[in-house]
Amino acid sequence: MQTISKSKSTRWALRDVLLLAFVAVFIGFIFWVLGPIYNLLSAALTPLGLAPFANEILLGGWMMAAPLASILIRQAGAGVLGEFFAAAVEMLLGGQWGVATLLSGLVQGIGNEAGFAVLGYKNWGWGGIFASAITGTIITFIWSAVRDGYGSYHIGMLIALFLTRFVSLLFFGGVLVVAIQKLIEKAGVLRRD
Amino acid sequence: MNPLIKFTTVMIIALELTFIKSVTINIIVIGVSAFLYLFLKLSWRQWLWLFILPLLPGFGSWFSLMYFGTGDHVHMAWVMLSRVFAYLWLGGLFTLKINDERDIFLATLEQKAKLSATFVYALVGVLNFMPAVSQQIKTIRVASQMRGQTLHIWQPQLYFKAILSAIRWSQNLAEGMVSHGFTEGAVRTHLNVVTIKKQDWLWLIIILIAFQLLLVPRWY
Repeated sequence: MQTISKSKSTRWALRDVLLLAFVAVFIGFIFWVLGPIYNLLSAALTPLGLAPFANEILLGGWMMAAPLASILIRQAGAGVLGEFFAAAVEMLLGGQWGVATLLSGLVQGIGNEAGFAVLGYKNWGWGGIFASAITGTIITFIWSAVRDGYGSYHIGMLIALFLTRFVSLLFFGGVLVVAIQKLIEKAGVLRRD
Repeated sequence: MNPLIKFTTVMIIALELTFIKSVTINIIVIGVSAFLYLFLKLSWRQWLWLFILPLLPGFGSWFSLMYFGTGDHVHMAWVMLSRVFAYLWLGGLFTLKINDERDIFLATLEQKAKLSATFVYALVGVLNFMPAVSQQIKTIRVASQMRGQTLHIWQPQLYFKAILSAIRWSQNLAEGMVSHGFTEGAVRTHLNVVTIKKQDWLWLIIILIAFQLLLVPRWY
């Protein structure tokens, strides 16, 4: 790829921005396919008052765009932008939360990227990925306390919700992303300059 | 109204709604949105969408807050139910028209909000690829089913194959854009120059001030 800019390290190259946006759209669509399953699950749980668990179980999946963007592009801001794009896709496809999807996407992106930031944007391997799952859980849970009214739950319910979300993020945002990274490295498709 | 101004207004109010625990405010937001929809000439499908979509997440929160809540949880249950509707009805003012207004929205982002042209044109390119992305995911799954494997969302292979497509398409699109004369960081001229009317700014200010005044009586 020949472009005008030579200083790739400081600004966003066209190819990176496009890769980021494509990854976000792909993840957005994969989880859009999940929509009906999520709706069935949450409809089944609604009369029991356990509908938030449907959200908690799948949240890690919705948040996958952030760690994937981070490990692919390895730049500060990639996680936030990736998750924000994915949220925009979900909103455009007609998500149930309307514009609030964008706000949540921003919070999720920041939460997830915080993990890589804490490690000084140096660890893009499993260490950074798991750190991002941990910060992602904590920060999005604080957001849920405000937006989803979690602040009004019993402490037992809160702990159960938190643990479910943590497990979901550890699996989708941790184990699965590490496995994907291994596949990518084995295939050698990403050339880093 | 310029779509970016509309977007800004909607986002600010949505952010405030997140912190306001008031059923009254939520219902006022829904009511004002409903009033505005009367002028937007929605199809019956869009009306149906507005009514049905929030039911599930709304009642999901309502039931669980009723069962497992503490403190003022009954009030909070109603707040959550009305909040989900308020988010969607408020957001719909922007999202239901975005298909017609997408080009102006992106052009405003570039020309007025001074967002880098790389981001704006990358977005334009990728948004046009959305139907192809949806098709590609189906292709990936069908291709593996032909070999007797079903790719589930918890299998890394599904994402790996999606990422391979993303890498290939992003490189192709980048080359395509550059070969059509897109130069990163270059000063661009515009065929359609976007202007934001003074009255749009005025509406933004009036709506936001009116909304803050609504909060003054502290109904929550």
